[in-house]
Amino acid sequence: MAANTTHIGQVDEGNIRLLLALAECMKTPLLKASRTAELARMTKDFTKIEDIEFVSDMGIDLIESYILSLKMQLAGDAMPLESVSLSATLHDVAHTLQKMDTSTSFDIELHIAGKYGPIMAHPKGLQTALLNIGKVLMNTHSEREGKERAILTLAARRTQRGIAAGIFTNIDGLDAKTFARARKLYGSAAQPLPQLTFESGAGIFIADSLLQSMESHLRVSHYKKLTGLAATFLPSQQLSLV
Amino acid sequence: MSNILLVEPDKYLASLYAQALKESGYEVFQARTIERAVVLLDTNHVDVLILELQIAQHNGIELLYEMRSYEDWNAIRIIVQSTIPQHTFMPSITVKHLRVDEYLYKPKTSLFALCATVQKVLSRQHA
Repeated sequence: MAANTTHIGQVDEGNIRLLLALAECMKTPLLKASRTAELARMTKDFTKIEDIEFVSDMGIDLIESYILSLKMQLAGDAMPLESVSLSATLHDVAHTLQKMDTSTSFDIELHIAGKYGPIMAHPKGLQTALLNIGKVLMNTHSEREGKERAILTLAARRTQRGIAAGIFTNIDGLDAKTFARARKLYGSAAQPLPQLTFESGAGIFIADSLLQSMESHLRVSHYKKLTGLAATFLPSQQLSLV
Repeated sequence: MSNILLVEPDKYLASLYAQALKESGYEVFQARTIERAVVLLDTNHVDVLILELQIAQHNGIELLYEMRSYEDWNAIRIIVQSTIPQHTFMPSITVKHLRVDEYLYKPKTSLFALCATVQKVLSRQHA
């Protein structure tokens, strides 16, 4: 009981807001699954069952990401950061996003210029954070009606503070000021990033939480002519000697 | 055949709603943004607008004000179908002021209920 009380005591306002953003965001996949089932029944077209699987899996992934972010917060200093290959992680994330792009409307590219050694991160946490950012940016494109082809670039580069990795795209509406305001609004506002998406953008704030647990910080960044979200990681010193 | 303009930012949901409405015998135009909705309103005869208020860049309330200030669009029946419950976003006084015919809470509105609501507002139009 004492342990439980301690954990509940640690749930701060940020976590409650994250839970609210998640709950708001979860309406969408559940709504899609429910209405798809209704339409399948209405039209006797049961090929739509595959769509139900797809949207349900998206919802499950979001919940899993949220659970991981909570576990990482609860672990605190006890959570070990490991040497992680950024190139391999970005490659895996790009591959997963490519599979999700069922309409093949995205140019998904991987830009890993230069050679990097491993970084210090939580492998699953890093992959989940990047995937969530990628998914939100992909959804953002599907809300637009422009004829411009959607670009999604996963990139890493060396900076003064370490190695930065992020996901960038060709849409307007994301800047540092907007993102700072969204950080204050998520959970309480239905649309914390109104210039970007109609949804609560829970995936971005879950990614933010995951990265904070890895002593990193999500920020708006630019890559070539693209805008996106990136975080900087410390290189793993010990393995650079190998 | 009555014409419906469906303003729904989610591409997947829009395709579900459009298919259900077409099955019920309506012609459906689709818009994911307010800008596109305005273009479609300008270039087509629309009987009923089905509108999600929560849209990126410009929200649905802006479109409602624009529609009600423009005489040519005054006869269009409006159904708001939103993920935001009416009481938290749009007080009844605004609903009345903007002449919103029906306000549906999207997570609790089946495709059948949506089609029935369209039929209901159209029957009011023809009454």
